[in-house]
Formats: sequence, C-alpha cells, structure tokens
Amino acid sequence: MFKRYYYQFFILILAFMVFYSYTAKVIIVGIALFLLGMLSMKEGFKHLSGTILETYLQKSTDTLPKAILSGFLATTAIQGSTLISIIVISFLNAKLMTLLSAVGVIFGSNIGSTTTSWIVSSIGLKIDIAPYAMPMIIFGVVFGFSENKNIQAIGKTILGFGLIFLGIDYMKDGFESLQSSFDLTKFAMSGWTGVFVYVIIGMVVTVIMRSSGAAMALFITAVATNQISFLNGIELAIGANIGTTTTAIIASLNANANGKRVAFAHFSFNMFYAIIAIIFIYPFSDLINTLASAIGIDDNDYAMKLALFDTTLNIISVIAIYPFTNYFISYLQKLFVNEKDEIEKPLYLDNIVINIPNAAIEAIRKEVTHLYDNAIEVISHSMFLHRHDFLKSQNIEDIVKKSDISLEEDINQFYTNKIKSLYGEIIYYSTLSQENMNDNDKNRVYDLKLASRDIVEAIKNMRDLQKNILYYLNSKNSYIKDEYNNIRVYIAKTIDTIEKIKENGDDIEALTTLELLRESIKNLDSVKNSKIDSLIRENKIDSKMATSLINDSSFAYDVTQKLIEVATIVWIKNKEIRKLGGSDESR
Amino acid sequence: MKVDKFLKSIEKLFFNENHNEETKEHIKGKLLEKIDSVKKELKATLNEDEIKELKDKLSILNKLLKRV
Repeated sequence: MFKRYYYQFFILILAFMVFYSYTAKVIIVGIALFLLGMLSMKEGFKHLSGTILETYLQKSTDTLPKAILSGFLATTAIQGSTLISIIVISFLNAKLMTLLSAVGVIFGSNIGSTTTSWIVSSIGLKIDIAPYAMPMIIFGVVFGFSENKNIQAIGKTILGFGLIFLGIDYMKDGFESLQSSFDLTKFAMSGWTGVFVYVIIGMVVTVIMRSSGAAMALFITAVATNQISFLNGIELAIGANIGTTTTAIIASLNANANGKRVAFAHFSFNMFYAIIAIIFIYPFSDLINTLASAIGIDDNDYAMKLALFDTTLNIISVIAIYPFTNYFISYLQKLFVNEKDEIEKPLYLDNIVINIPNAAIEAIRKEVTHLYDNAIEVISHSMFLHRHDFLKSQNIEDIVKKSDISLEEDINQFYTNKIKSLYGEIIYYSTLSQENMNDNDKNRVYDLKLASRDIVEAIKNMRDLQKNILYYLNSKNSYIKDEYNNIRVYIAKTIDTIEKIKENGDDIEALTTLELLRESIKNLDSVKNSKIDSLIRENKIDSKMATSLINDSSFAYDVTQKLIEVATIVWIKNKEIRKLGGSDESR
Repeated sequence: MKVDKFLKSIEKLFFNENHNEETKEHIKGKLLEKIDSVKKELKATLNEDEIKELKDKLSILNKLLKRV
C-alpha cells in the first residue's frame, strides 16, 4: 500500500513544504539546482572524458594501490562515483580489468567522492560564489546551442558547475533565513538515540536525492549555518554513505555476476565504514578535532571538519580493509557466479553500461567476438575439424586430410542454443544503445550489427555445405574428395589467419593480411577458376559432382568472405583504416 | 612548443575535419613506411615463394594507399 502510493505521498509533502514555507522553498530550490547541476556536469564529462577516462582506468589499475589511486583521481576529476562504477563493471565484463582492480577502484572512488564535501565547505560556503555562477550558466547555455558535440559537452559541464554553485548559494541563504525564524538545533539529539535517528535520516535523504554529493552538500550547509550540531552532522554523513549504495544495489539486481560483485563490494565497504564510524563515533569526533587543529582548520569551522571526517574515515576504512582484500575477492567470486544454461547467454551486454556510448560499443564488440568464437566452433565441427587441431598449425592441409570425419555435430541444435539467442540479444541491445549515441557511434554499432548478421549467415551457408562434405569425403572418387578437402583447407586457413589478426595490435598489418587473404580466397570459387572445367573434360567427376562442387565452392567462398568482413569490422580498431578494406567490387 | 600542442588539441576538439585530415596523413605515412620496409625485404630475399608473397603484399599496400 505504502510502496504503491509513496511517490504521490512524497510529492504532496514536497508541495506542502514549498507552498507553506518560503525558507523551505529556498532550501529545496537549492537542492534541486544542485542536483540538476550534477546531472548536467555528469553528462558533459561523460562526453568529454569519453575514451580518455576509460583508457586511463584500463591502463593504470594493474595493482591494488594503483587501482585505489586511479579510482580516487577519476572520481575527483568527474565528481561522481556512479559513472566510475559503471565503467568498472563494463571493464570487468570485457575482461579488461581484474576483480581485485575493480574493487580497488571502488575503494578509491569512495575517497574521491568526498572531495565534493571539500568543494562545498571551502569554495561553496566561504566565497560568495553566486556572481561566478551567473556567467557560467549563461555561457553554458550558449555553448549548449552549438552543433559541435564537444562544445555542447563543454557547455553542459560549465552549466553544471554554475547550477551547483547557485544551488549551494540558495541552500546557504535558506538555512540562514531559517536560523532567524526557526531553531533546528532544538531537535539536536545526543547519545545512541541521536546516532540511530540521524544515521537513518542521512540514509533516507541520500536515497531520495540519489546522490551522496548533494546530500552531503545539504548537511554541510546545515552544519555551517549552525542548524545542526557537528556530531549530528557526522551521523548524517554516516547515513549518506550507506544510502549512496542503494542505487548501485538496485541497478545490480538485473546485472550479471560482475555487476553484482561490484555493487556488493561497494555496499560492504560502505557498511564497514558505517559500522566502525558508529562504534567509534566519539573517539573519531575527538580525532577529527585534533586533526583539524593540526592542519589549521578553525575550531568553529564545522563544515570543513565534516568534510575532514568524511575523507579521514574513508581513508581509515580502506587501510583497515586493505590486508583482507584478497579474501574479500575470493568471497565475492564464490558468492556471485554466472548461471550456466543450455541456451548461451550474453557475457558482456550489461544494461548498466547501455547509456555510456564507449562502454556500450566495447560491450557489443566483445559480444560479437563471443558470437564469432561460438560460430567458429560450429563451422569447424561442421567440416569435421577441431579448432585446437588446426589453429596455429604449420600444415593445415595434412590435418584436414587426416581428420576423423565421424565427428558428429548437430548444427541446428548448436545454432539454436549458441547462436540464435545470442544474435537476438546483440541486435536488441545494440538498437537500444543507439538511442543515446551520436552519428559516429551509431554507425559503429550498425557495423557491429552487420558483423553479427554476417556470422549468422556464414553458419547458414555451412549448414548447406555440411551434408555434401560428409557425402563426398566418403566417396571413392579421389578427385572430388580432394576438391572438398581443398574447400575445408581454405575455410580452416581463413579461420586461422583471422585468429592471428585478433592478437595483432597493428591495424595496417592486420588489414593487409586480411586483404591478402581476400585475394587468395578468390581461387576458391570454382566457377571463376578453370579447374572444374578440366575435371569435367577429363571425366574425373560426373555432372552431379560438378554441380555440387560449383554450388558448394560458392557457399564456401561466401563463408570466408563473411568471416573476413567480420574480422575487418571487429578487430581493426581505427575507423579510417577499417574503411580502406573490402573488395574492389564492393567499393 | 607546449602552446602549439595546446592549440592543436583545441583545434582537434572544435574542428573535427582538420583532425580527419591529420588522421589520413598519419595513415598514409604508416602505409609508406610499410611499403618501404617490404621493398627492402624484397631486395634482400632470394627465395621465390617469399618473393611472391612480398610482391602480393606490396600490391595490397599500394592498393590501400590509393584508397586513402
């Protein structure tokens, strides 16, 4: 009942507060502007940081201390831990980061998110920032009208800062005016009752605002204007640290094991923080007073002391949990395991990253690679070969000749379980992800969709080819047998060459290899070469065999061409280099 | 020097077309480098199979260069 109507109930209370009290209205406007500013700034940063942030996080997180430092720096730079969590999950899914590094980044990100408190308590409350906010809002909006996406993003970031500054100013004004009419300090609570009540309030406010940064800005402003006591402010901050994990927990409910592991790591860390903070609240409060005096913070500057508390306790929590991180990782790996199913499920298509263009593209690219690997398994088996026998082999011809043709594979079953559902998921996810993308990114996703379609069509061609391969490999006619072995060799060599491309970091070298492969495969199409004519003329094969060979070599040619297309789209990273590929006829 | 770098990055940010031209020049440069190295390899080898392979590679690299 309450769950069903809580939103309406919340709106009613909000409306009552806004219309009944001018002061409440000013504070709420401040919160609304602050939240709007954070949203705008996040959007701007998301576009501007693009691959830079992702590349940085990928390359500088190989050890736990580096991961913690990177998490701290990245969160400080973009003023938001949610985007960092999302990137971390996408990297875990794409196997670009280990779980240990991901947890390290989350730890660091928790410390980094406390810098918002420092900005609010130092710049926001000490300097009259409203005059700076106005030009920021004006130029932010003007830049937002630009057609250039980068200028638009700069505009959103500036506008975000402007709105945040204006929001802080409103909150400050609101609390100051409240001070003259209504004394909130009457509600100050001491002892364990105070701890319990204020931690819950901090948690609820953060859940409603969906941002610990905004909640902390509110609490710090209230402490700075002496509306609540420093100790109650600490309790609110503890509540905010618990409340901030709920967004990640809710988002992870539908996520895969990696998403759940990261969300649970975040939740556990913040709970650990909260528990030690609550148990040692009084000694910590004394410690903060001592530390504040030592670094020159004024005794009555409770806003900065609150920021100091938030940062210090996060650092202490990281130090305390650091020696046990490896045990924690093993526990997370055991606690959340991906379900195994007959029907292959996507490994990388996580809904958490669908709105981040670069992360979504990487997820789709990885999933297409997954689809390709499954397809290579079925293609190899349908020509009675095992991948591990011929990949990286020096003599594929020999392996093909000596292969055991009794190897049975039900292509239809395999197609249903490991290809069809995965292909459907890629198309569905790609289409949804394109909604938030610019034209360049949309085109990239479109190409990846084409690559998936090529993979599926290659398998369908193999399905047609399989029966005749089996039939003619059992034939007593050695000529037709050789021709079908030749078809198998060409396909196996194509797969083998592409496998080498996957590990090649040089795009030009990779494209040259693929183009050479494309040229050599032209010999496969029997209609285009004269070999089949001589086989017929010399009565080495009959008319039925000739027809089959013409059709099947054409199928095999299509399979190899499609695999080369897929390799060009998926493994050549540079867009301009990718465009240079393709046969002369297709250009 | 640092000012030049800064201005170039601003130019990249605001004018994508120049960035595209720069990328094309970079690719051309890389292709020419590869062509030179294949030509050198071609001069150094006597093996007929290798010569054929290198000639094919050279023709592909020239084709790609024309497409840039």
